[in-house]
Amino acid sequence: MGTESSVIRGTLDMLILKTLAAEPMHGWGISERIQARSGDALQVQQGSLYASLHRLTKEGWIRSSWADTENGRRARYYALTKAGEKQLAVEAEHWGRMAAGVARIMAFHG
Amino acid sequence: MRWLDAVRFRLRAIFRPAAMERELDQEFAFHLEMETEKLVRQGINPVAAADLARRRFDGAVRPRQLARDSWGSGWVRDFGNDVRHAVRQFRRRPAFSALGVLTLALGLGATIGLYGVVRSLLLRPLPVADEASLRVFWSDYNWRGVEFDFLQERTKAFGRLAAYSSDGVTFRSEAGSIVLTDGVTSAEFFDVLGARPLMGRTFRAGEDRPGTEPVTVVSYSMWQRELGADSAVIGRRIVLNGQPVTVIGVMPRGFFFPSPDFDLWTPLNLDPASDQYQGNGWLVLFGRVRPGLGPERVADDVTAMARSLGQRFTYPAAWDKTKDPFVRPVRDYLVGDVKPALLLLLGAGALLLLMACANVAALVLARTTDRSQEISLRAALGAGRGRLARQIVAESLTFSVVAGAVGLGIAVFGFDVLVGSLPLKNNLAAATTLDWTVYAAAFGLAAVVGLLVAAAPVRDLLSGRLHGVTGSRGAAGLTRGTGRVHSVLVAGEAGVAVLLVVGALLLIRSVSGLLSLDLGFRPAGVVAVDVLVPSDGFPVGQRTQAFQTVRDRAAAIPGVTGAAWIGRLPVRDDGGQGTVAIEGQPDLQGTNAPNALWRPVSPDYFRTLGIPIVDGRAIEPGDRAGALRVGLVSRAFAARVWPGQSPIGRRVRFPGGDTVAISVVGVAGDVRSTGVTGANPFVLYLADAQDADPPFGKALVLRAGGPPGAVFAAVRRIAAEVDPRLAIARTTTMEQVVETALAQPLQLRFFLTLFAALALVLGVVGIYSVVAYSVSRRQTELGLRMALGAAPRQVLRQIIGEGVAPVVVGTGLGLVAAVALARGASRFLYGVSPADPVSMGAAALALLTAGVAAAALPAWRASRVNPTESLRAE
Repeated sequence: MGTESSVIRGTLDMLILKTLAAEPMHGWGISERIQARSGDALQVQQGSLYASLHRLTKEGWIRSSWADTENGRRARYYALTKAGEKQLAVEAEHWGRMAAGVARIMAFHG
Repeated sequence: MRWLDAVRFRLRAIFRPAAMERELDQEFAFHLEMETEKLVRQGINPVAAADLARRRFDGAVRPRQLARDSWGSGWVRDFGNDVRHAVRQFRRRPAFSALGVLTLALGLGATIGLYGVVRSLLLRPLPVADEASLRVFWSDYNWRGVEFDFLQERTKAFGRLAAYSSDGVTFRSEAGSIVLTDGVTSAEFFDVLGARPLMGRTFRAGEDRPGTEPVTVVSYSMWQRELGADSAVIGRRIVLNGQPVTVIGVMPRGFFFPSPDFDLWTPLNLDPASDQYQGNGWLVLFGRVRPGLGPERVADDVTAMARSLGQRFTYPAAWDKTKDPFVRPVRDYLVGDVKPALLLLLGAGALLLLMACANVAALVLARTTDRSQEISLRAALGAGRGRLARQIVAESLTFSVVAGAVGLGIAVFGFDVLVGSLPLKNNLAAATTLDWTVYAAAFGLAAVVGLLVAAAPVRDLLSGRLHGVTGSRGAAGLTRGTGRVHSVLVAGEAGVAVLLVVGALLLIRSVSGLLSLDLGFRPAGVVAVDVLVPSDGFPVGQRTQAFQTVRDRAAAIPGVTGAAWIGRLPVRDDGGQGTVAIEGQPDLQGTNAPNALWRPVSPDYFRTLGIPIVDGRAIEPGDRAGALRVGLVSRAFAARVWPGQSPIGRRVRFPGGDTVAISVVGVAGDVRSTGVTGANPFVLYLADAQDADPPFGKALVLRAGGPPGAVFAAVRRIAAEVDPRLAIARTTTMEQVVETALAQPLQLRFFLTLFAALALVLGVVGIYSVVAYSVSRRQTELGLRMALGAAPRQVLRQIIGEGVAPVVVGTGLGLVAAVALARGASRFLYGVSPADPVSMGAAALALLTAGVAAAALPAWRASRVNPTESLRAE
């Protein structure tokens, strides 16, 4: 995958939840959005994407249903649940603290 | 509902994996399509785009695996694989598997079937409300109406009391007269039981008193069978005992009390003004304890009630109802003393199951040990110990569940035989059925057995004994370890087998003692037919005449050499007793008068049954109404009342209104009148032609050479010809009567003998397989020793000795346990000591012989082996 960095381990769940917070979406759409919104900085491994989606479903943070896309194809759409919203808030807060910590270390001129 | 979604997801992953996979395929296909389209839009040609999309998708194998792993149902799939693996293993060794499954199935089948009976009789609720508070009063079958009324007013601990008795009634249907079993009850009967009718009503207060319309409540099966399940049956009149009776209610399906035998219930006719009952009563009393009363309060009240009886009634010493009162839980009363026998059999079945487990455990252990190389190889290739343990468990579970299914089959198909052969009172067999808990218990038990069987090899595995096997024979420690487990298993099996064999032998000896008892009559060739006349529309003279004609014509049936009536059949029937005042002996009158069975008989009774006349004469045709009233006493009666003197010419009287004295004209030999065991009760035989109020039902006994069926048919025909209102209640042979009385010991003997035989077979199989296995493991060593000059005979002796040693230990322990247990079960024994040396010795001998025989075959084979060959195999 060349220079494109893959999603940092552990943050994929949060990125999926964040993406689904806007609207329900299918797997391909989620991966496209993460890539687009990160300005192509993040590339989602397809294998991890579906494993992650199923794991989140098992946890009850998202739920899935089959629906037609705009151009009439059947696709599995994932949507955020109430529990998922809460989980997203928890993970966002956690990420914020971690990112700040990492930033402070990187800004340290010692 | 987060958890609900999560559960649904997991359940689908476990139970609908194919659907999950299909959806995954569709999801991936959609993804690839979208990706391809995107690439085409970017200007790549479609073929290359599809290829690129697929490559970006990692070839779809890894994503699929990752997605599947995320379902969290991996263990289920592993388990499925293990089970399939296990089935393959069994197919490869069909003999081993069939033997294991069969032994387990027999143990499981016996235990499950007996559990079904125990559940039906001891655990399943009776069809009454709040069974726990219902109590039956002391003095079985012997309360009078006046006593019932008296106690009803005096009880404090019980709410209302109810009374019932049973009676046979004739019922006229299109097919002719049949006999139904009638519960004759007080008005409170259904209310105290808390039973509601399916249709109509039950009895109202006062309906058990004189001057009310005759009514009846019928059982569900009676309604279905005899009344055509007519939904408008309420208010219909049926003819019982020759009298029209109105059906007022139908009880729901499943209701029975006191037993499923009862076809209908009619109210008693309790008339305080008349006390025509001279005997000691005919009613069973029961009541419901008031809520919140402790057992002491109930006991105090019962004692007070008994004492109060003495204020109003005087009792002979033979049955003083004021003494030692007690109340019994209703189930105890209904089910009777079948409980200890059932628990004994259930225990024996469980022991058999335990033996089967030990056997299969030994087999699985041997197999696991044989596979230790395969297992260590797999461990080396990265299979975790947990995974390997799960595989062993899956194997033994598959095994035991298959055995459970076969065992359940045995239990279901053998259940009717089992129930039919149990000595159940009151036809409770009809209420004895298998239900879902039995099926659940079967598979629960199978699962437990599977885990038990897996315990030893899994323990070996987890403790590392099966690990690190490097050289092919580097497993000396392993052999020693499993060898010890094997010895314990064999010793345990031998102990259990000895226990069962001792039990069987004790019962075999008890039963042969019972069968050789002198009954006082010759049952062979005697048949009995119970005949009933309707109590209404059959005046005394007509009744006596009808009975007389039936007897005379029955005596003329070809092959019949004797025919006579008796009120109650010996061995089978009790009741019909009371005190007899002895003239000229002031100390044997009033309350000190001896108690005796009153048995009206027709001439020829003693000759027909083969009862010897010890002194004087038998009843003769001349002993009819108007002539001198005569009777015979039994030998024990005579010995007690007139010791050392002849009773001939002495006179006895019934207490109460009947003042005509009875002159003793003879002494009859003692007969087992109310059962096979116990002391011989006193009997007073009376001439039935002199009976002022003969009973409505009697038993016709016939001595006949031919097959009983032909005699029964002939008697039926005769009865129908004499009067179509005569009904045949039951037909039996005296040999059957004796067998029924001995049913419990006979059946216990049958089952324990069966279990003991199975236990011996299991023991032999167990010892054989363990010795054969150990010999096969030691082939090299044995070959080496023989090559170095050991004689085959020496090797033979050593192997047998080693194989039999645990049998000796187990037999010793089993004998100790047998003595302890037999003492607790001494109620089942007759004329045999619980520590009977013959039974003990024979059982020990049987086990040791079986042990030597089982060990001899593999030992002999080992001693015949060519030393060089076994060394070359190394």
